[in-house]
Amino acid sequence: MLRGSVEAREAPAAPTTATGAPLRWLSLRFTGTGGEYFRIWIINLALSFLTLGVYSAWAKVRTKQYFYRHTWLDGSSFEYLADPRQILKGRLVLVLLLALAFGLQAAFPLASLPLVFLLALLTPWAVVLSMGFRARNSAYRNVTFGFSCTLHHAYRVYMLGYWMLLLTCGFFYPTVRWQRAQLVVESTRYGSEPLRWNTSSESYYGCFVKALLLGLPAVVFSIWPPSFGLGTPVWGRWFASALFLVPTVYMRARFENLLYGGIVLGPHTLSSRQQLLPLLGIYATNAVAVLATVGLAIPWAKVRLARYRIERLTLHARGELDVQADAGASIHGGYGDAAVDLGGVDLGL
Amino acid sequence: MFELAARYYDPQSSRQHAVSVLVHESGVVYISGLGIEVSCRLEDLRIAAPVLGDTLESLLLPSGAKCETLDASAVSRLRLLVGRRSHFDWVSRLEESWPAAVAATALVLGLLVSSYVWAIPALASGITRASPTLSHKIGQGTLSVLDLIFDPSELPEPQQVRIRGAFHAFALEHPELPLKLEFRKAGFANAFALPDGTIVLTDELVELSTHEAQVLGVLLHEIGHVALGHSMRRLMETSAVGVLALAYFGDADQVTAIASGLPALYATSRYSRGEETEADTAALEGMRRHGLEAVHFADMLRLLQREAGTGEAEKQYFSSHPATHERAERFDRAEIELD
Repeated sequence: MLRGSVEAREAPAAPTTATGAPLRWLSLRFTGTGGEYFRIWIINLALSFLTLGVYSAWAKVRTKQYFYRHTWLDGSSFEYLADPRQILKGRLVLVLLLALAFGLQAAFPLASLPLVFLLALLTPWAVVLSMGFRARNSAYRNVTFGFSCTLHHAYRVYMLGYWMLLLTCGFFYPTVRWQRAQLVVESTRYGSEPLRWNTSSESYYGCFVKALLLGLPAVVFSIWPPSFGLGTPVWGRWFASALFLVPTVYMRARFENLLYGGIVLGPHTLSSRQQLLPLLGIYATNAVAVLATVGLAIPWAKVRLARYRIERLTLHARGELDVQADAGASIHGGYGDAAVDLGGVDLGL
Repeated sequence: MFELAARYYDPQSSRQHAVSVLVHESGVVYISGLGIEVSCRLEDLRIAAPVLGDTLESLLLPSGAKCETLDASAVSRLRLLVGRRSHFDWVSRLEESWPAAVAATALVLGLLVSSYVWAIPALASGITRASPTLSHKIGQGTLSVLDLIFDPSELPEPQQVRIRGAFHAFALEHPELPLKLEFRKAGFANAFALPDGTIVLTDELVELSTHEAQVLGVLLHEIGHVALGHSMRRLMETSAVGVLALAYFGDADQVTAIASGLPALYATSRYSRGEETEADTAALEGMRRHGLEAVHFADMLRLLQREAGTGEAEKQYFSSHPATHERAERFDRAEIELD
């Protein structure tokens, strides 16, 4: 457990030019526990059920507050500042939209194709709103993050991506994902300091090729048993889907490493070192524990995963982490945030 | 009067300043450190809602400046002094208590089980009865989607007429139901009932059968589904279980969610196995009334299973239908009892 040294910090010499400052390796730490989060989670669930879902907006804020406050960097923790009422508003709009879509689909099943198309059209808008909401409500050392991306820019990146995917039958998928990640990272800033991103699109291709190779055993296994003339036995299908976990988890670990590992903030750089085998172990044991406890182990599982992902991050800091706050942050509603939360809009990161 | 050590941030930057916060009896808070000299009235001070575990506590000043401290006991004294409550205060008291957590667990599990056992089936059949137009719309819509992949029937006309004739005789027993029979060439042997009372019979099933009474047994089974309102009920039940599962398991990570999808799948297939058994009962009674031998239904089930060619017993818990041999045996037994 990391205990921040609160008092012992001298006022720094404040090097305005970062070149001469000493390099510090600051590991991120996570101090949440399964027992604490279980109590938050079950109270959230009980109150959400009792209020027919209205409390879920407050529940989300409580959960985020817990995870942010227990994430430490250089003796300070992160903070989540969102107003639950904003999230509630967003969720209401979203529930109405979903009900409308569901009703339309029930009445005119052939309308589902245009609906998918409409969803694709709304995605850039949802990304801009939700990433903006998340950034503006995240703070570290009394300075909030920010997100500045015009809808025009987001639409250009996404529409270009859709066309590239269509015209090349998906071959450029890694590039498209890379472009979306770049859009999100480089639109984000901490205070007045914009984030930069130095991950190359080639590294995304490398990740996909390796994931495909790792997926080969699963593919082979899922088509192999029928040749014995027995049909696919149930255990065989289970085993094949378990094998598919390997490339899925690999992609997750690798993409997060590429996403966070490429982030540059002024003179500081971030690195992420998640590895396949430990992460696979966490996912597998989490799945077993969640199943065996009919879900009661979910908080424990979530805390374990968060700890691994957060503690694999290191900030290579040159000098102090001082930035100026940003004066002109505009306030949007919580709509986009809810869209990500409920609708599971794929941000493609 | 008491004092606590903290770090101070002015509203303009993330720069840290070590300070000491002095809470004076006069109701004024003095914050002082190297180059920092700030004061604020106690009633203007805001303390961020507490979070479980050892975390930093935040004191927010009206200017937008902030003090962070690890001195939780001093901050709880300060909370008493300030007295003003944030809307998370009572929630955080609930979160701190293990008895509350145990009670909440009992409540959540109790609600999940009772809505599964009572509320969802009651709600589903209530909605089904309340809105026949909705079922009609959904049934018509489903058929129009199915027709995108199905082809028109190629069964010989006399055979269609014979089956239709028997179907109309069955339908007369349910004058209140808008029963309708549709033949389609689907590529697989099956029959199903749509919410509006339309029953779709595939050519392949008719071709698979070795006796016409086998097909009629299947029709009686599907009519049973319609009469009992299963189609609509299943739609409602699946959506309701989905919503509950999303609420309960929604917090799990996506990969873990694969594991949590299994309980939901189990829950919905348990409903549907119950409905299949009810429809089998309807078929059994119908066959008796119309003088058809129950063994034909059992034979049809066995033919279908041979066609599918899988050992079904293993996946019983997740199957939408009860095990074929059990269903077939029920009809075999009925035959013996009758004799």
